[in-house]
Amino acid sequence: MPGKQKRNRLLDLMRIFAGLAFCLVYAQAGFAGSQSTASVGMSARIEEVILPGSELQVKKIVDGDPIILRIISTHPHGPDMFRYELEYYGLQPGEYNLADFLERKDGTPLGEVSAVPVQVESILAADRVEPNSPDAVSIPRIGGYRFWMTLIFIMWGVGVFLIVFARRKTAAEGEEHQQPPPTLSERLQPMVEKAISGELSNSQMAELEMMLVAFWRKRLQLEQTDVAEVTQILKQHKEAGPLLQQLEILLHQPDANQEVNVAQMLEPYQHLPAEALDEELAALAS
Amino acid sequence: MTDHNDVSDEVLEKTRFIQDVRDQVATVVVGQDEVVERLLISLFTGGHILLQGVPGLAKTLLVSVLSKSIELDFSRIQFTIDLLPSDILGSQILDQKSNEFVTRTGPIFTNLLLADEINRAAPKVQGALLEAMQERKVTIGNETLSLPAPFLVIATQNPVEQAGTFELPEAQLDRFMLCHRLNYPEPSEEREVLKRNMALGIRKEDRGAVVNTEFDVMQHKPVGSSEDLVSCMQAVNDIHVSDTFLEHVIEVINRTRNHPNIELGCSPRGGIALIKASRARALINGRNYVIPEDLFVLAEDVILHRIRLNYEALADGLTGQAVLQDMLRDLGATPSSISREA
Repeated sequence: MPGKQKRNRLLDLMRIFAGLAFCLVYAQAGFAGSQSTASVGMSARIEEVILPGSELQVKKIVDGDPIILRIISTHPHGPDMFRYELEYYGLQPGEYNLADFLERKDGTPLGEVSAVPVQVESILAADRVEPNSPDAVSIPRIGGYRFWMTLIFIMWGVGVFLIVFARRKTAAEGEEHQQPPPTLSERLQPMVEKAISGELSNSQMAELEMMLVAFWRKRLQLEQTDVAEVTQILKQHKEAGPLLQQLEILLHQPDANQEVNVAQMLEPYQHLPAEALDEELAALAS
Repeated sequence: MTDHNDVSDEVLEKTRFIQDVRDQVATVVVGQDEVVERLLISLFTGGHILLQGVPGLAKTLLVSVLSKSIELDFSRIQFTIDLLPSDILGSQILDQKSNEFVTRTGPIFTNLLLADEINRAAPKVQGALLEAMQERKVTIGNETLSLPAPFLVIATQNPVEQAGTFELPEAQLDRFMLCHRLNYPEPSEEREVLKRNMALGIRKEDRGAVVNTEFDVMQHKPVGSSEDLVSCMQAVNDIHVSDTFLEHVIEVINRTRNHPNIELGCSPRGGIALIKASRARALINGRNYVIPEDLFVLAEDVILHRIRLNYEALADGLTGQAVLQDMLRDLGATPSSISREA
């Protein structure tokens, strides 16, 4: 049976070869399946990465690095080996080896370190660089936003000008038309005239009485003196005193037994020029 | 300027009584003629008076001597923060013998009541007093009692120390017919006060001696009775008020309501008080009619506590007194605030 033994040996060899081939393919497939993949800007983690040699750290980041790498945790893993947990996120699509971004903590050269491949994929279409690239549109010189803004500004300016101008004009017109209030002398004379002709009512007589008191207060320059004191002073005055006494009898005393001659009493004030008191005061002041 | 020959005998008789009272007061109180006049005005018109002044101006002495001069009852209450309405009005207490409640009247049941420093009491005490002043009756428990006649409250208020006080609101101030501001005496009057005080001496009591005060030397002999007071009140009521004077009062009151510096003008009660007080002043001065001088003299006491300046005036540093004086000076000098028909 040597032919049969030979054939069995050949079958065994074929089985071993098939088994090795299967293991190799499976190992290749398994390694390919363990490669980490992430899209641009999204973070991803790789756990249980065993790398030989002294402890590793992330290299200093420089501008233009396509990957940002971070070591989450480091654990010793037997003699002269460490187990790492890594996190990364890619800024540019492509395939990278994370080991390229590591260095020895003790400053020694990195040496032989197995690759830690990752793939960063882009979600955007290959021809699209930016998410939304707005196109600059030029604003027309006439019409549109700029035209309307200019128009509104001009109208606002014209409105403000008109309001200010109108107010000034009104104030100026008011000043022109506004006459100064009548002086005491101007008010006194017609009242005296009416009183002499008996045309004044009780209330107007009351006003006349106060006007005469105010007249003498002004004439004697007692305008800043206490009003109660002024009455006492006026009563002592040779001209104002008799006037106030007669007014008291005429207007306040019941059943006055003395007839008061109103015309005679008010005669000095009948032909009083309107500006007499003011002139007199001005003369006194000078 | 009034000739006394023109005045009726009745008025002259009253004037004599008033002068007697003034003389009696003058034996104890030096100066303060103005305050005495205002107190008599209040007494004759039945209006209450608020005296504003610093302590030590003989307010209590003045009221005390006035009450003794006219044979009137007098009580004094010192208002404090812990005073209760029952301390003034009275309360009902249980008589253990009869096992019934008995009404005990408070010090308010008098003719002249001096409410010293009224702004120191809590508002409910002020309210109780001011209500009694207005209604002239008091309710204790279920019993309503009338206050004696005459009944006059003379309240005092210190204008300087305002810490821990309760300012009387305008509505309550309005209940006072007059609010008089007391001033320090003139140097000559002060000299007399000091001389009199030095001459008071001491009196022996028990085994020792005590220093006499003005209250001790006060004469207890009255110069008039309550009948005299009643007849004076009647005479005040008969004082003639001309239509012209009424117009002056209306003009003044109206100006307080339209003045640019005044937020709250004078109430109609102010006008009524002005006429009442003017009548009393006319009687005191031996006239049977009122004249504008009465109005000018009394305006400050009647009007000032009834008006309130607005914010702008206060911000400008104006005082009520200055505004009122300006307003009175404007009478006649500026056109009337009331439209008048010929």
